[in-house]
Amino acid sequence: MFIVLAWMGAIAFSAESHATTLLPGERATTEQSRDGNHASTERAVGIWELAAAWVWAKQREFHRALTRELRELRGKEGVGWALVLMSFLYGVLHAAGPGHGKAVLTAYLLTHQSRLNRGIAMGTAAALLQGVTALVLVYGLVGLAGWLPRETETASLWAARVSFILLATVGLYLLVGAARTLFGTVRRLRYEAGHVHHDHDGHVHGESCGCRHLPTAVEIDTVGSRHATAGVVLAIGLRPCSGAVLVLILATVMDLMWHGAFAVIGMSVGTAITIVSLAILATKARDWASAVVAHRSPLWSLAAGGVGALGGALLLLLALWLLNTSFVMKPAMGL
Amino acid sequence: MGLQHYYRCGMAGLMLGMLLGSSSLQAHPHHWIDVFAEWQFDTKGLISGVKLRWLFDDYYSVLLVDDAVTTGEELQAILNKILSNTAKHHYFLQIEHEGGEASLGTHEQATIGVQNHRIEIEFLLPITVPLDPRHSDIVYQIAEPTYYFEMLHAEESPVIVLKDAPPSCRYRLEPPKPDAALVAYAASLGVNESGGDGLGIQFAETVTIRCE
Repeated sequence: MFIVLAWMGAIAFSAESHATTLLPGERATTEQSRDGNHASTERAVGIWELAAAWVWAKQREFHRALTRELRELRGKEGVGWALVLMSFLYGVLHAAGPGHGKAVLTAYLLTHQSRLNRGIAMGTAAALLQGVTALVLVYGLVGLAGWLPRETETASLWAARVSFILLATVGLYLLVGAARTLFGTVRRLRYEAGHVHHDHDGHVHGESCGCRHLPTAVEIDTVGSRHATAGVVLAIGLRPCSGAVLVLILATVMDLMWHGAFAVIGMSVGTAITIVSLAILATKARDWASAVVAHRSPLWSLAAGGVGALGGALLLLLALWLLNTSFVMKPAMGL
Repeated sequence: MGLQHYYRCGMAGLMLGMLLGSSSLQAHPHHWIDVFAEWQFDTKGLISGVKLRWLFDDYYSVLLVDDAVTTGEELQAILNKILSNTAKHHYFLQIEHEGGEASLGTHEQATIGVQNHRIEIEFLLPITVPLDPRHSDIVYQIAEPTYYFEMLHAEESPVIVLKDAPPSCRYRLEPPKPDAALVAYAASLGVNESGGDGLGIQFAETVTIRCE
């Protein structure tokens, strides 16, 4: 992974720098011209901002490189491995930038107990589904149904909105589930406080009673968690990756349908690698946190319920916010 | 505790950063335009106009052309639309001279064409009061205000031409130098979000024309 990143850095460095150009036979002035815009806004730049800026610069570079690569493939024979490789790297990188898919998956995994392979499967499925969505959207609508390329932007927007609505539903579902568990736990704690000498074997373990201690692997695989998992995967996967849509639309117009499809497969695999790494991190982080917080104390189930509710609320808010911004269309100035 | 503790805290911080930093699918800019500029000097050595050529990116060109073909619109209609819209924003060109902003006339000699499947438009902007580059530098920037489009001078040469200029004239192009915080902000803007009309100019190149 690091070799790949270093390699990407190397490409970008060679492609940068738009040097000062001079008229033939003229000498450069050494005097600096006034620079009104960047009037030294001295402020601390965090490592996070630097990282975001780096990812942004690389994405921008890749965006152009993908277009260039497609342009050069036109009228040539061959699979276009360079394009596939570049798409793969773009996928790895694109997924490392800010994005709602990662936010959703991380928020879910951090706040809900899941087994590691569940997290990995979720990441992989979501990334691959994103590629499929882009393929269906572009090749299905433009290639088969005869839509205009411009109209796929509207279709992408609606696919994204459906994904946000789905996400809001998942958030609400998790929130309600967590709240029920939480109330159950509180009721039980009160009950125990009032009946200190009560025989413990007497109470009933109902579904929502919240008498859970640290859940076992079997307990994690409840029907509810399977629904939530599927919801999260669909919510991420239904929103097509913009890079994939771009490549596929250009591929359609340039008569490079197969090249486009291979490129998107490469992109999805790349995205999957990053998302799965993130899923592993999130699952590990949560396991560690829950191991530290408490061991099988009733307070733990209270905390877990609270964190679960927080996760649900976070997803719900994120979804509503994304949905809202998706309706605030901002056309580019005059173009 | 110890090293592992710090490692874990770092990881937790990273996750938090991921969450807080994640807001959108794709960052600005979404399209780009390669710009060519030909500055026209009159016989007195003053700058009387600039001929601009904009080359749109492949993707945006596809969107424009395809729309035109199926709606039966002429490319000419697209050209008119683009120019009448951008005229409201000084054609995205800002020229500073002697502490003030040069005033531009209305576009002339506008043409549209397709070059390597990319839409290309060209137009001449007269400068109402010709500028004297001998007394003070002429500094210009080209930017789409919201940075939805990135406008940079093309990488091929000649991209900036000083036509009929006295031999002592030259120019220098400075690449944009946005700070990391600003870039992080642009990166956080989704396709439907706007960072305001002042964003584009901060990612613009600065070109200085000087005659001695």
